[in-house]
Amino acid sequence: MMSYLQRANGFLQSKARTVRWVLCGPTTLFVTLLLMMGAAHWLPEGDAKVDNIALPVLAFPLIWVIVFLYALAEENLVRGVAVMVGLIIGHVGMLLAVM
Amino acid sequence: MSFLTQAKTKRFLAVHGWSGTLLGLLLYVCIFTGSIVVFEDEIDSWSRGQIAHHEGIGTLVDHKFRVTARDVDRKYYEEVSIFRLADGNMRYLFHTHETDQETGRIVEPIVRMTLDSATGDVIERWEGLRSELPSDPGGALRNFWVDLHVQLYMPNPYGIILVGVLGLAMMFAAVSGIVIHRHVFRDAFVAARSSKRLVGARDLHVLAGTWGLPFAFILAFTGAFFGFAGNVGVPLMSMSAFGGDQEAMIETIVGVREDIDLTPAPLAALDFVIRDGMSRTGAAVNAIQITNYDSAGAKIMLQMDPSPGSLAPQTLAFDGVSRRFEGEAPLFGQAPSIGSSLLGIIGPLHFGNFAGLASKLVWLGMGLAMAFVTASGMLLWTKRREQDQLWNGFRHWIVVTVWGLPFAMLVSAVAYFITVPVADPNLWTPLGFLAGAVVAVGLGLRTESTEARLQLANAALCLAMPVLRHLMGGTSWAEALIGGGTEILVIDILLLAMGLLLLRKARPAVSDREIAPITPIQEPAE
Repeated sequence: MMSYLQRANGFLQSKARTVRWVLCGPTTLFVTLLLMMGAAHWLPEGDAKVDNIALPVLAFPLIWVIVFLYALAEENLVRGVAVMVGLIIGHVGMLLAVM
Repeated sequence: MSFLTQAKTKRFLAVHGWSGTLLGLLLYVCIFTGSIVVFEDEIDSWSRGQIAHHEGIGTLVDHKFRVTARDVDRKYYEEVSIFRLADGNMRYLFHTHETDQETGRIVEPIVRMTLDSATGDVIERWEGLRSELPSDPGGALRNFWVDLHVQLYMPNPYGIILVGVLGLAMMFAAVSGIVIHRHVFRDAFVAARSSKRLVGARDLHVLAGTWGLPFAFILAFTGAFFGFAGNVGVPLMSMSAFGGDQEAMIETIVGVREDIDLTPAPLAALDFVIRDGMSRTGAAVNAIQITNYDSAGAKIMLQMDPSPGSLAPQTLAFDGVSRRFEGEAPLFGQAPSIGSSLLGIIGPLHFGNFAGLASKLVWLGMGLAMAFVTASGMLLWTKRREQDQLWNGFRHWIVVTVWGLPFAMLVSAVAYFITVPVADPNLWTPLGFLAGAVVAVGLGLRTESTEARLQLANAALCLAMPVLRHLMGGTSWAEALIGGGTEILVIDILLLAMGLLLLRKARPAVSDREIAPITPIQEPAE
C-alpha cells in the first residue's frame, strides 16, 4: 500500500505544476458546482421549503473560494487529489441516487 | 503576519499576481464603472436634465388608473404594473402571457402607457411584445454605463458570467493579499512612505487593500453571486432538486394560484391600500403590481422602499377586492425563510443604496479605492519586471486603460448629450465610448507624457460637461436649486472639481517635456 502511495506521490510531484493547475482550475469549479447541487439534498428545507435551494446558490462564491484556497494551499498533492476525487465521487453518487 | 510556509506563500503570490495581471484590466473596468453607477438614478436624472422625483408613486393613484384602464383590452388585465418614472411621469404596464403559434414559446404582449405628472393625460401609448419594447432614449447614458459594469457590454449571458468570474478572482485576490503579506496589520497603521520608488507605491497598495478588504469581499461576493446565480446556479439547482422540472421549481418558489376566480369584481380602493402599506412600514410605495385586475381573484402587491433602519425593501400583499392585508410577500418562496432574507440583502449590499446618499457616497469612495488597488497591484507587478520590454510595454498600456476608461466614459456622455435631441442616443452613446477608447489608444501610442495627456483630456471633458449639459437643454443650476434637483448640482460640481484637480495634476507634467528616467529599484518588494 505504501509503495502505491509513494509511486502516486512521485508521479504527482513530477507533474506538480500541471496537477496544481488542474486541481485549482476545472476541478475546483466542478467540485463547487457539485457541492452546490448536492447541498439541495442535505440542507434543511425550512418552513418555506426553499432554504435548500436558496442557500447553496447564495453560497456558491464562498464555496468556490474555500475549495480554491484548499487546492492551492495543500502541500500534499496525493491528499489534495484524494480529497477532490472523494468529493466528486461522493456527490456524483449521491446525485445519481436521488435524481 | 503569515501562517503560510514559504512554498505556499510563493504559490499564493504567483496566483495573486498572475490572476490580477491577466484579469486586472477587466476587473478595473468592472470596479471603476461599478463605483460610478452606484449613482445610476442620480446620473439618470442628471443626464435627462430633469429633476428627479423620489416621493414614490404618491397616494392619489386610484381614479386616474381606473379611467385609463378602461381604454385597455381586458386580456391585458392579467398583470398590471404601476410606477413613477424618474421624470415624475407615471407609467402603467398592462400585460398578459400567450403561446406564440410559430415558435411555441411563451411571449408577453404588453400595453405601455405614460401619463403626464401634472395633467394625468396619456402622453404615450405603445402596444406590442415585451421583447420588442422600444428603448428609452433619455436613459441611454445610464443604461450604457450600467451595461458596461454588469456585462462589460458583451452579449448575455457571457458578459454576466465573465463579470462573475471577475468577482471570484477579486475574492481570491482580497483573501490572498492578506495572507501573503507578512506585516499586514502592522502596515495598515503605518502611513505610506513618501517615495516615488516601488516601496512607496506598495505601501499605498497595501494600505488601500487592507482597509478596503471587508468592502472588497462584500462587493466581490455579491458580484459573483449576481454573475452566476441566474445563469448557472438556478438552472443547476432545478436539475438537482427538481430533476429538471422547472415548473415544479417555479411552483415551489413563487407558487401557482389555481382556480382563480375571474368573475368581474371591482378592485379595492388603491389609495386606501397605498396608505395602509405606508402606515405598516413607514416607507413610501415604490411600485404597485395588480394581478387579475377587475376580477374577484385580484391581488395587489405593494413594493415598498426600505423602511427606516432596514436594509432590504418589503413587498406587501393585499386581497384585490376586500383590500385585506395578507402579509409580507417574501422575495423567494411562499413563506418567510432564512434563504429569502439573505437573498433580500444581497442587492442593497452590492448597490449601496440602503441608506440614501450617505451609503452611496461610501460605496463610491470604497469602490474607487478598490479600483486604485487593482490598478496599483498591476503596476507593482509590472514594475518589478520592467527590465523586460514586454512587461514594460504592458505597464504603459495599464496606465492608458486607467485614464482611458474615464475618458471614454466622458466621451460617451458627450455623444449622448449631443445626439439626444437629433438622433438615437442608444446607438451613439456606445459609439462615443468607442471613439473615446480609440482616442485614448491613440494618445497611448505616444509614450511620452501619456498619463498627463490623458489626465488633461479627462480634465477638459469634466470641465466642459456641465456647460454642454446646460446648452443641450438641461436643468440650470437655479432651476435645480429651486426645484430640489440636488443630484444635478452635485454631479456638475463634482465634475468641475475633478476637472480642476486633474488640470492641476497634469499641467506641470505636460509642460515638462523632459521626462525623468525611472529610478532603478534598489530594495526588493515583499
